[in-house]
Amino acid sequence: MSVGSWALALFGAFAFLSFVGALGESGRPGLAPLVVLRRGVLGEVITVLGGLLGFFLAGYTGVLLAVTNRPIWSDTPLLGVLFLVSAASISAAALILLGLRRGIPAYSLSWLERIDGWLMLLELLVLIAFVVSLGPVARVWLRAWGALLVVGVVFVGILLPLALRWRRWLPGRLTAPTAALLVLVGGFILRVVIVLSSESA
Amino acid sequence: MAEPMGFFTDTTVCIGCKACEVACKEWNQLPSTNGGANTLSGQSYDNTRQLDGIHWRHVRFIEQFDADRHDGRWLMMSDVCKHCAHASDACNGCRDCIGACPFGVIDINPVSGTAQKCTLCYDRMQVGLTPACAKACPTESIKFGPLEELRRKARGRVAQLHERGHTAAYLYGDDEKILGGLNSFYLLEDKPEVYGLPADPKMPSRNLFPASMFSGLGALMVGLVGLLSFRQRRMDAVAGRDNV
Amino acid sequence: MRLGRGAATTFPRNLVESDCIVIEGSNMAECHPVAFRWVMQAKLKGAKVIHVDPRFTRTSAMADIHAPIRAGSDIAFLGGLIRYAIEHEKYFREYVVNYTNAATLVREDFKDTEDLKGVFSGLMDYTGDPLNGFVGQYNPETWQYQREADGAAPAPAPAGGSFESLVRANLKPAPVRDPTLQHPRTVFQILKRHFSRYTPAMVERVTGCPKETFLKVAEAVTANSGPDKTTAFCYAVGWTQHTYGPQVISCCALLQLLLGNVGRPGGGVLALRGHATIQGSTDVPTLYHSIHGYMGAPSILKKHETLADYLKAETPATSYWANMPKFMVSYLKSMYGAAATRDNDFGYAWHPRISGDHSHMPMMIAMADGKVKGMFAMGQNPAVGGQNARLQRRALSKLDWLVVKDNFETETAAFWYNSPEVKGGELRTEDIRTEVFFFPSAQVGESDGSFTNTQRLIQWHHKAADPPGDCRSDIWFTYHLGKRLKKLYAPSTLPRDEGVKALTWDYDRDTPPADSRIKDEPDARKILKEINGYDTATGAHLPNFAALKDDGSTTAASWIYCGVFPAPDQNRAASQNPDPPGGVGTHLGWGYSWPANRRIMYNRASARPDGKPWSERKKYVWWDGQKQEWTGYDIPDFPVKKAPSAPARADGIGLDAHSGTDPFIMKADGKGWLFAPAGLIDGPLPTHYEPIESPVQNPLYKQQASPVLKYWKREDNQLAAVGDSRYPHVLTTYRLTEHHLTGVMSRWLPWLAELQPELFVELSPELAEPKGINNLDWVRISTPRGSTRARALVTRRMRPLTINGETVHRR
Ligand code: SF4
Ligand code: SF4
Repeated sequence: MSVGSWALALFGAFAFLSFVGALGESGRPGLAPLVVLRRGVLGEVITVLGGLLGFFLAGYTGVLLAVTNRPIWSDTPLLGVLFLVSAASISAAALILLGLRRGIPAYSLSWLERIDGWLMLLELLVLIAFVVSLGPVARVWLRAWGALLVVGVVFVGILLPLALRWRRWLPGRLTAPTAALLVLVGGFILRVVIVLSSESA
Repeated sequence: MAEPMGFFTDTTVCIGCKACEVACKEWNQLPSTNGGANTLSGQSYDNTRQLDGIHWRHVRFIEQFDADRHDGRWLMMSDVCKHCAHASDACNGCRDCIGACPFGVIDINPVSGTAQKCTLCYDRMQVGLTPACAKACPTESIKFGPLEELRRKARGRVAQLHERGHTAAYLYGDDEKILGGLNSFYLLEDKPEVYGLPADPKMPSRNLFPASMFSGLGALMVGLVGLLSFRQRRMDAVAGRDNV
Repeated sequence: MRLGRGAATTFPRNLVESDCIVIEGSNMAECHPVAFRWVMQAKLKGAKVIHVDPRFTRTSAMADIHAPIRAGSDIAFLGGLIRYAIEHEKYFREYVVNYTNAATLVREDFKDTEDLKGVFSGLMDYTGDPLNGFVGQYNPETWQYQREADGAAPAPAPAGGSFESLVRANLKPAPVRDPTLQHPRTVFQILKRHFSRYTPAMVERVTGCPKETFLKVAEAVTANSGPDKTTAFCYAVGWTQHTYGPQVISCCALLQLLLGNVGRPGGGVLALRGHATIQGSTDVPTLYHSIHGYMGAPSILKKHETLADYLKAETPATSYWANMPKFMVSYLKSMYGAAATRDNDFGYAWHPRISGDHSHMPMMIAMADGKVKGMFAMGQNPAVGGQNARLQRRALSKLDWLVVKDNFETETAAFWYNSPEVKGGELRTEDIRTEVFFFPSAQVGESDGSFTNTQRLIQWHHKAADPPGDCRSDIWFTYHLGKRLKKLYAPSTLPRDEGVKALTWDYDRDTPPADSRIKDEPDARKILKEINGYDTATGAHLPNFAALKDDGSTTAASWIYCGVFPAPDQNRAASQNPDPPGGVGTHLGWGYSWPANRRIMYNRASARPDGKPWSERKKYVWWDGQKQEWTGYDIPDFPVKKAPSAPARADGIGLDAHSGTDPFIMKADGKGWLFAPAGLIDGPLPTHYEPIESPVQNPLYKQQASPVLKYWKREDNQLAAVGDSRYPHVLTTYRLTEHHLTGVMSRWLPWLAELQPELFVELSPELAEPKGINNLDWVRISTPRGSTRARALVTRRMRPLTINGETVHRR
């Protein structure tokens, strides 16, 4: 499974290139030429390849865990996709939080919120499929870990932020960051439950 | 080597003397638990507890007694790497194997810092010697040899036991049913779980293809969501500019 | 002593030929795993394996039947088997009539335990030195055979005559026999009466073994004995370490004689020795009561004033032992060399004579009383392994000096700062004036030498490497100590020092070894030659013990080893020529087994009286009518040319007094002794007595414990009274595969220590639960003599037996 290591290294390299390119964009004198790494054909290539590698990495951890002999992890082929979708959703949430600090335009914000909403729905679906695919093994979640999964992931991490966005009953300024934060918390809990409940299974 | 070699462990003649464990450690110069200052496990005579990076052989002791002692037996079994016929080979030290082994055979040897397990005494085999554990076994519970011959012997032994009324005896891992065959297989008298063996072990790699496919699919969908939303963003952006 | 030699009658490899193997008084799989391979091979061939033992051990796990008994009730169990065989007519009649003393008549005034409430006739108070510890003693006078024309004693020995006439003077008339076994004074009828009360119900009451299990064992053992089948018994210290240990073993020998299982393949009584050369240490002995080759030690308590006195008292006129003068004179020649002449009784007067019981326990008692000044502890660790170890550790503190030679600093060497008594404040290091010398020892692979194992097999081991540092081999140490002592004594003119001055002590190497740092290691082959014996005139090695003479022309340190080194280039201990695969497995070319390389002793009994094998299946040694000699898979333990039809000569001495159907050549009458008229101090027949500390009254007899056991009654050696409620549990100590003996060689090795890292006591849930003891809890175990702490291992392998309700065991 050394592909993962290669992918990680390559992804790191592309991320670094993008970072250097971003320095060029920052407008500091002398760094401007670096902008080629972000714009033009080279920039596109770097972005696309980096993005693909990012997708790979996001799915890789889940696949890696599936290819072991631990209970739960190895009992379903859906761990990779679950991690991937969840990763996308928390990435969006993280961007929202970052964006709010830097004051990005409202249309970007609502774009991120919308994409995150869809991703959360997708995550919910994958999660359901995941539990179903576990079959009898899922019985380990009839206890504490299961409760945490339902409350922490489904409710706190998915349903609540969705509800927040559709019915903005919090003061306007607070809705977006709170929802994003909840998504992050839910993503964290999801991983905790998956990793640790395997021990107790 | 022309013929595939392997182990046949006949647990019905194992006396639990642990000579195999010690011979393995001696030959392979494996360290002892805490320099010998181990603690009592309280689990019968098994203070080794498990196979890991410094215990490549592990003798299990299973006590099965009725409350009135009418029926009772004490099973012993020398466990080792199953040498799966279809195992992947090279190790690059990533430790993934520890979780991947269906039998929990592998772990880190704290001295070398690498994941280790039985090597089938590769160095001894090179010069035509029997593995240290099999050589040390006084009752020939551990038999080492060409697999075909071992399988024949093993099946003969099962037939003999059945004839004598021990109808529970059977072979574990001698044919393809378990992971396509184990090059270290066992004669058992009770369910595999009793000996700490998985009844239906699975090759972890079976998940690789479907898991990757599903992840790919997931990635596509995320991408799609992204693209659709992007289109919407464009429109919003245009609308936004108009509004400005 | 029912069979006549102090060793296993058979060899472990031969167990493969057994149809049934009974292991009792031994945890063979655990303590003798390598010999146990033969038990497993026999089992693979279909033999029944039976384990009779208080605990369910690794051995029980491999057995077809596990018969649980209470520790110390073995004679009751074996007695039950004897009764079963007799009552159900399942003994091997033809064997019993011809090869045992079943038909011999015992004196009319002999009284059995049946008549005397559990003791035999002849019991008296003990009047000897209290240090010997006896609580009573027997006069065996009434146990003797009835003899033809009693009273007509042969002519007295002519004074100053040859040793042969001296032996002839000991000749007694032949015993009276009734081959129909009907006469009430026959051994057989006495035996039948003696064991009549050992019924299955009684066996259950005494031993706790369920009747059904006992009967299963009885059926298996008897069904697997006879012309076509053989059963073997294996035992170890589970029998010997009782106050009546020899009685248990002789009870087993008795049963095996009844079943016709002695001298035959797959039969026998196999003593399992726990130590590498423990057999060797009694052959060339460290025993106090016998000298080399199982001759009695000269004693001041017997009429042993001169060599002639000694030989007259010790030599039976019949049996191979009639050759004792040859063995003894050769032994003395080996001891004192040229200084030993016919005129000075071959130096007999220089030889030490014992004055009582000098065995371990009385020695330690005397030490505790300050009567012993110094001690060498080599290969022994009494601070851990001794009974009443507390007394023994305290005794060490009374010594002036103590030498410990071992591989590790043992608890014995460290007692002065590390014993529980010092740590508990009972003794203070400052007050202990014992000077302790610790000598580091070489390992087996670091010197040349030999081992004699459980099957009397002498095997040579070659040095592989020099020992590190100051470590030296045992022979180096002993040899150089002797040399220095001789030097010290050299100037002495005292008559009592003559012996040390005359002692043969000349084992230097002719040329110092080129490949070793240690130039003064003695020559082990010279020592082997000394043991083997040689011609005093030419120095030529002796080929076998038949070549020994009583005129001083031969030497042999231990006559039974004579033949192991028959020529300078023939060290048969080092011979390693196995039989090709598929043979009967006697492997006569592997090592050398005393006597005369015979693997199964008394193997003449493997053939019928007429010399033909009992059956094709059990063919072993037989008479070849063509060649007119005994032949077979083993060296015949019988005069090779003596035909089965040869009659006994009434006036013959030695083996001439035996007929061609008397296989037990070491016994005066050539028979296996079902009844022992001599040689056993605790009675002619085995009898169940309770261990000295028992939770119950003896259910069989009014006599509770052996009337002749040894006990040193003193403040620091207390016993629990029978049924003492403070000590209600039966405790046995035992060995584990992972550790050797007291662990003195294994606890220091991390690879072994990690396998069994802590002291534990195994107890049944039935005992543990009411006491609130959980698995792995610390528990304290106490006897009236000491106490210790151990971890609890609660397991159903332990079970309470219904004599006393509960059983405790510990490591
Ligand atoms: S084959 Fe060698 S390495 Fe493997 S368990 Fe046996 S002794 Fe150890
Ligand atoms: S497999 Fe052999 S060496 Fe290992 S414990 Fe069993 S009997 Fe002993």
